[in-house]
Order: sequence, then C-alpha cells, then structure tokens
Amino acid sequence: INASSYPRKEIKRRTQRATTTAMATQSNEDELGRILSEFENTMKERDLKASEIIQAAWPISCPRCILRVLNVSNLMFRSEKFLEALLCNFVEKTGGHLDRSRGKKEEKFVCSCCVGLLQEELIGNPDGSLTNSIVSLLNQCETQFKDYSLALSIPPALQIRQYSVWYYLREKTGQFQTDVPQMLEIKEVLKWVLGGFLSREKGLVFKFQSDFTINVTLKNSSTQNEHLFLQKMKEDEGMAKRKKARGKRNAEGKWEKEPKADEISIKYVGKLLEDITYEKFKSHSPIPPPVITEQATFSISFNHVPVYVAGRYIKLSRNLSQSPWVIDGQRKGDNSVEEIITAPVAPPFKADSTKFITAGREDIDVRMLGRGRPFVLELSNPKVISVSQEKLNQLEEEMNSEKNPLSSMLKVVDLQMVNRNEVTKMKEGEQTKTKNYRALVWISKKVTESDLKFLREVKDLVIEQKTPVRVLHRRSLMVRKKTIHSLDFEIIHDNFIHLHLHTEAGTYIKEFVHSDLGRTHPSFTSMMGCQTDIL
Amino acid sequence: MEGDEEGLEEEVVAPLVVDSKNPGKSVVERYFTQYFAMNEQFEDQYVYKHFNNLFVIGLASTHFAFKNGEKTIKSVNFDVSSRSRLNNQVSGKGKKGGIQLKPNDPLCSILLSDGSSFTVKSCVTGSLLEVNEKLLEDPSLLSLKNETDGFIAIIQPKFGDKDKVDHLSTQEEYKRIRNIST
Repeated sequence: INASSYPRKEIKRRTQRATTTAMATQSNEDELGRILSEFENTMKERDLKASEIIQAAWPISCPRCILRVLNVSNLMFRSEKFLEALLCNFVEKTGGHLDRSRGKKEEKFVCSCCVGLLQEELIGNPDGSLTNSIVSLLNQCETQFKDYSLALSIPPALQIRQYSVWYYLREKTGQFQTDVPQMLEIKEVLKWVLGGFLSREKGLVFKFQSDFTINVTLKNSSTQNEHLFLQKMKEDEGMAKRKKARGKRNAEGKWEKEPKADEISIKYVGKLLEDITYEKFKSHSPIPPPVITEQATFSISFNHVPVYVAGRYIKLSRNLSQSPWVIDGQRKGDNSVEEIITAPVAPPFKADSTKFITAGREDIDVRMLGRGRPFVLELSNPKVISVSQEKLNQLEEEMNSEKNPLSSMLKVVDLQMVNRNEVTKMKEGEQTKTKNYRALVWISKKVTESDLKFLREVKDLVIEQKTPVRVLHRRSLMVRKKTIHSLDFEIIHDNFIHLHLHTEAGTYIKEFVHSDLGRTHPSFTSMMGCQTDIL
Repeated sequence: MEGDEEGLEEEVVAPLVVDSKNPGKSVVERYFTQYFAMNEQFEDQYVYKHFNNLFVIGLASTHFAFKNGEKTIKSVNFDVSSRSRLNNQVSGKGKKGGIQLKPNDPLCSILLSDGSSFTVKSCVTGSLLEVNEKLLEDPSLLSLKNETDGFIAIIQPKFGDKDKVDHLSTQEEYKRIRNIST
C-alpha cells in the first residue's frame, strides 16, 4: 500500500515533466489572483473541506506540506512566501483566519511534517542551503556527465510523522477515513523542486536511469529516535525477530562481530507501518508530532557508474603472479599482471578505485600464450568516462615497446572500451570454454612415437581430481570430474615430450600429469605406467 | 625453464642441459619440506610439510616393515580409536568436522604377512582431512610407492600451530641418523 494515491507511472511522468517546466520567480498580484481561483476550483471539485484542513494544519505544517495533504502538485515550485499568501487569501475568503507568524516570534518555524526538508531555508531558490551546495559542488566536480538522476535518503522519522499528522488532521476535521495517509510523497516533491531548480540553473537533464547520480542524504538529529517505538511495539507483540550478529574472521583468524546497525532500515519501517491502526499508533507515538526547532542537515556526494576497459594479455614470464601476492601480511614478488596493466591504463580515467577481472587465471610459473587471456579493468566512479581508441592504441604501443622493461614479461593487445554486458559475457566464458595447454613433460622411461601413439586416440576422457594438495588449504576438499577432450605430443628428446592438452575449463593440468600422490585418476602417470613429471 | 624459447612462435629448443634420468626435483621435493619421526624400533614415518602448511603423513623407506623384503604388508585398517578414520567428513573451505589428532593418536594399524601388526601415528597436531582409501584395496602401494601414491593421511594443522615441527627431525638429521648417503 503506497501512501501516495497516484500510480508509479503517473509520478514518473510528472517528475519528468516537472523538471523541465520553467519556474516563476516573481509573483505579482494578477498571478496570485489567477492561481487562487484555479486552486479554489480544484478544491471544489475534490469536495474537500479545504479551509478547515488548512486551518488545522497551519500551526504545524509548512505550505508545501499542506499542499501535499491536499494532493495539489502543480504549485510546488512556487516560493514558500507565495504559497503562504495563497493559502491565507484562500482561507480568508471562506471566512477563516491564519496567523502568519504561527505564534512564534524568535525562532524560525520548522515544519513538523517534513522537518524542514520542503522549506525555503533548505530548498529555496536561490538561497536555499541545499540548492546552493549542490550547485557549488557540481561546479567543482570534474566528472563528465550528460544527464543525472537524484538519489535521496530521508530520515525514517518522516514516515512516522506523516501518520501522526494524518491522524491529527482526522481528529480535528473529521476528514480522511483511511488509516494509511494518502498524501503526496516527500521524496517526489523534493525531486520535483530540486530537479526543476537544477534544470533551470544548470541546464541539466534529469533521467531516471542515468549513469551519473547525485546522492543527497538528509537528516534531522532531533528526530533520530522517533521510529524506534515500532521495534518496541513489535517486540511487545512478540513478533520481533532479532537476527544474530554474524561474525567475520579478521586477519589473525580471530572471530570479530559485525557492529550492530543502529537504525532499522527505512523499508522495514514502512513495512511495520503498513499494518498499523490508529489505536496502536496513538498508544505508542504522539499525535500531533513533537515540535522541533532544529533545521535538517544534509550531505551530498556524486557517483558515476563504472566504466570498463578490456583487452587481452600475454604472459611471457614464469615468475609473475596475476594479482598481488600477500602471505601473512607480507608481500611476495615485486609485481603482478594486475599492477602492470592498471598502472598505465587507469590514470587517464581518474577513478576512485579499480578492479581487475579476468576470464580465468594461470599459476605464477605458467606462461599465457596465443591470442592472450581476456581481461577487463573496471574503473569505479571515474571522472573521465571515455578515452578515445587512438589514445588506447597509443597506451598499448607504449606498454609493448622494447623501451618498456616490463614488456618482456607481459604484452597487452586489443585494448578497448566495453560496456557492462560484455563483461558478463566474458566471465561466462571462464566456465564454459575449453582450454588448450602445452606442457613440457619428463617421463622416466625413454619413449618412442609408437609408445605414445595411443595418446592421440584419447577422446573426451573423464578424470576425477581430488582437490590438489597444492590448493587444499584454501579450497574445499571435493572430487572434480573433468574431461580431457584430446591429447597430442611431440617428442623432443629421449625422456622429454611436449604434451598438448585440450581440456574442460577448471582442469588442474599439473596434477593430471604427476597425479598428485595418486589423487587424480586417471592421470598421465597412470596412463604411461611409470613416473612422470611436469617441468 | 632451461632451454625454453621465449616468444610467441611455437619454436622449441630441446632442454639438452637437463639430465634425462633426473629431471630435477621430484614433486615431493618441489612442494614439500621433509620431516621425519623415528625411534629405536625403526617405526620411521615421514611428515611432509607443504608450502601451504598442510601435512602428508606416511611410512618412511627406512621403516622396519620394509626391511630387506622379509615381510610384506597384508592390509591396512583405519578402524582405530573411538572413531574410524574412514568416517572422517570435512566440509567447506575451512574443512570443518575433521577428526582432531594429537601426535600420538593412531591413524591406522597395518597387518604384516607374519601376523604381526603395528600402529601408524599422527605425528602432528591438527584435524584429519583425508586418509588414503586406496590402501584398503591395494596395500602394495605402501611398499612400492610409500613416498607418493602410498601416503597414509593428509592433516591440516591447527590455525596458529603451523610451524610446530620442533619434535620432528629434519631431512639432514634423518639421513645422518639412519646413515643414508645423499
């Protein structure tokens, strides 16, 4: 059950439309009069005792919140002053009266309904603190973007207060029969107002699924604990489920408990409120909501979805690990494929962090030849979102040139920008593709062509490999069935051959050759009937 | 590797510098540090410590069971102590659930052709990962390949005790005491 009575599509459409509507910054008497009569007509159509509602809500709500209760959306961009004038005129015409100062002389009025989120101090144009901050931060932000979307986080207390105000107005005016409030959502209104402002001031285009997100987190410290009664309420009814705090092992192998979350999530609050009735609410939470004097605070951050650079690497070294190798806190080996590739490719993007993803991997002492192994470098929250193919080609040339001492260990080819889908496809290939290997194998007895002819007749041989002792310390003990699709060989010398293998992905080649103390079966050793080893 | 051509072409240069009979270190020599437990009765066992700290336990070649080929190994029995070693179940990456062993705990008992039997000890502290079930069907593996396919058990040391091998002899000490020339 949504607190707003409008279907999701309608809200989306309105937001889209609303953010591109020009805002009126100055009102004059004619305009006020025109809008006033429109407003009156709308209220008549809705058959609401609007005047009573406004008068009841006035002492505790700002004008925008009152409009939310009345479900009037098209006036949200108007300034708070304009809306106050509008409402006062409306009420006076019906014979009522609104006290402009709301009884307070010194302190600024903070709306109990939205805790200041929808008020001029925060979102006013041009002086709202939030709106100013967003603009100045955007000016400083180097990230390139074409459109944006807004992600808002509001305090869970607001949902509680919404219910509280709803019930209060019901008590006072006798309207609103439902137990669940039917008013416009604060988040939607915020998006309309902020969106419209950004569109006008910065010419920014709002898009629902944009690559660039402006994250705004809003808090009001005086309302931090107002939703906690819900947890208590659930516990009283014996329905609360407390999840045990799960622990994690830290670097020394000791168990560490995860810190308990202080707040219940907003979704959970919404869910708990769905089942609430007026009576239950009244017995646990104040109606109307407590008065607050503190303004809301906010924090803003920007985020861009990651971009991806793909390529293939060819590893020529037999002493290069794929990722940085750390044992017991100490670094072993002075370089890695990941670091060699990240060093020149990442800087042009100015990203917050990077991730090196490959389609499979090989041991430190194994070379990677042929076309090369596909990899993707994921760049998180980049400031530069795309680099030209020419520049990438240039980087590739520099990495592979003889002037670069690292090029004798690693070469990179096919550097290109790719999108997210292609990363997924690449990872799928890791499991499903078959792999080709060439191994230098020593055989304890001297062999001839005819001795080994039978190897070429091997087709789809199924072998069972227990987890090799070599990796048993970090893998589960289990038996893996793998298929050797075909074998081929060249005799190099009496006891040495090059063994070519075409196998299923995930086959442990070294263990197939030397049988890992007999735990891989059948193995090359067992097929040859004598001791063999891989060099 | 010696003699290998570095490059993207498939050219191969034969590793002529490597001895055909001895390609260098064997699998055991490459991956394990060899330790030994001995006593005056020649109940010699090896404890191979992998670079990842896992232990492989087995009978050393100087064990009295192999003496001069007088007796042969008839069978291996893992049903020792309160829990049969065949019932060992470990699960997950952490390999939980393995039988907890101390150095003197038995791994199995071995029956010889003359009717006598002896016990193989754990030699280390840790949890049992795997026993070599092939020995049940084929006890000859113990005599023929005691260092490789005839291993007896794989044990995971207790976290934090990875380096506790002080009670064992190093390979040099073993060779010296048993008078083995390299």
